[in-house]
Amino acid sequence: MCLQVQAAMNRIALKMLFHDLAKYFGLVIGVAFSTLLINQQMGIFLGLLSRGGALIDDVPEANVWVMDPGVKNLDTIFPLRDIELGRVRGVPGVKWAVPYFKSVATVRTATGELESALLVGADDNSLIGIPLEFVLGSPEDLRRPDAVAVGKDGYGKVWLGEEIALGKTVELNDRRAYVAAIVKDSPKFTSSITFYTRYSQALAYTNNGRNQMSFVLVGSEPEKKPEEVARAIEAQTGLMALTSDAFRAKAVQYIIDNTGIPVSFGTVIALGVIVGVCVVGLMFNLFVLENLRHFAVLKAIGIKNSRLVGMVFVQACVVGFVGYGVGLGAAAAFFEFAGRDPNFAGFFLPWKIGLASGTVAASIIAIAAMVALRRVLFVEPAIVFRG
Amino acid sequence: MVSLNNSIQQEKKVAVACRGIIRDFGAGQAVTRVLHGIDLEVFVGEITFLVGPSGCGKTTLISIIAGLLNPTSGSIHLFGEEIGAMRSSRLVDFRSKNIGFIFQQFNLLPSLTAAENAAVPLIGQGVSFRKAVAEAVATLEQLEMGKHAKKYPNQLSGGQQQRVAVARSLVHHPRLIICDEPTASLDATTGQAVMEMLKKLASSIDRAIIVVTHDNRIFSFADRIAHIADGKIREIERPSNSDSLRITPTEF
Repeated sequence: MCLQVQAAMNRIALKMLFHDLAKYFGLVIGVAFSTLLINQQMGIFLGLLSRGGALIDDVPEANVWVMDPGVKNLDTIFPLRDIELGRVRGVPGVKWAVPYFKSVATVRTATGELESALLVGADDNSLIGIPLEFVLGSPEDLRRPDAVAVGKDGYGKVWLGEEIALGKTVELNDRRAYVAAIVKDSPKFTSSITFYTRYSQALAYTNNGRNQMSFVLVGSEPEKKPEEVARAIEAQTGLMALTSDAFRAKAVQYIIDNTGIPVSFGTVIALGVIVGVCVVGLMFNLFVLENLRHFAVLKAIGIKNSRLVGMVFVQACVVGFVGYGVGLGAAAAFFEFAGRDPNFAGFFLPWKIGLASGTVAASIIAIAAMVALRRVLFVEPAIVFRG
Repeated sequence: MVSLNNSIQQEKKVAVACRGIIRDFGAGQAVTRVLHGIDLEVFVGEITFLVGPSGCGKTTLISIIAGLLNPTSGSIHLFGEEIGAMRSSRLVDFRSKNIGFIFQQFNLLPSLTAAENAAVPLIGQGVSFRKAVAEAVATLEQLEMGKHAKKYPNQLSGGQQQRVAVARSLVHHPRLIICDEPTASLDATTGQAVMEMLKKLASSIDRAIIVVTHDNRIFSFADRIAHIADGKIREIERPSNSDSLRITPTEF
């Protein structure tokens, strides 16, 4: 019988909630706004952070990266001597080791403007370092003189509005480069245009001569853990060796520690939560206040406090679920549509953010309901006799 | 305590018995005594009016009788049970089963239809929503409001809303109905109609009705009128027969 009474009272609670549509939509929009803001900002924040390790993600074959001990991230590089490659290859547990070059280059776009681009040089023989997914062309095409591959998103920046096609030429550090392939690469933190070519070709574009190796990429023996191989390389060469995961984490941590991004996004997210709590709390309180007399009538008629608590709980839950659903849907739509823009490429909405924002939305509605519940529980039913 | 000696009253059962009800509001030096030792009996089958000027304590008294407010001292027995001795949850159950309310402002829930409003007391007692609404419709039909059962309060006139409130007070067959200014928001004709309805209800079933009112046009419906002033019952009269009892303030 208890459940039957509560079910009927819940039905009345919902009728009360939906009766004042303006307030209901106000509540839903409050929760939805907070949810949207949290998801959108968190998604972009994580997207930006993930760009810090984009180059690592594009080379899944390598599980250990070797570098100068002073390197803090992918952008602050101290070149290694060419001899280091041989030393790394001599470390037990290293199955293969190849040179990797990374630099900044200047590219002249189709409209004549200069843009900053990343230039990546991959091993001449194996081409390890080039993204695996080719949209147009093939790895073999990169063996031609002056041949480069360009990232698909970057292509649109150089040749604005043009359909992707092979055979274009471009000035890269004032030298001719021929687009022999278009690859699908990860969006980068510092530049949206990346050119990939052979190691020797990349050195030619930068006129830097020998001893310009940025990293040594290592594939460990299958029976060896990458961590063990990394430790062995460090012990034997004096260089810094990090597994892909560790290097990615280090690069991301560098962004967190040395940019204002976390503070900036954190502030917006906090504002979203605060505005959500304030707006939803106030509106829900107002809603309950306006219905306080009706709750008092129900009390006077003989409805128990526990039933009234259930009613407020149901009203709060419905507002929370609908608001959260709308907010999450709007955030998903944002990432779906914004993701089509190359500037937003790689931004996504992980389920963990959805879960986190759900927890925040639940907290917002719980706080609002708690405040409102006090009024309902302590309202004197005798007020029903007052005019 | 005033007792009536004629044989008719001896036969009537006491629905409400108030003994020495005192009620203070505030605390410390700001305490205000609103009721000064009220003794009152309300009999089954009768309509008892509580009348008096604003602020005399009528509303406080019915709130205490209904168990919505605790007296500072004194006892209230409803149908032989002392409500002051009941635990909170038991009192809520008791009120839910035995008392119906009619308010001056109707106090209908605007989000519910007439039938749903009238069904609320049944729902609170565990009757399913559908069955409660069906019973409420039947009650509304008895009050000639059946065709308005699906209308919302804002689609009804004041008189119709009060009839819905009457239906709500009756639907669970309570033994005591407490009416607070039931005709104050109604025109004279509608007010008379509502009172006729209440009179009929009081006489036809084993039920007592308490009416708080300022409206002297409806005094003729009362079996007993308790005049309250300054928190005391100054006079109890029986306007409808020759056995009227009049008491003076000095007798308290």
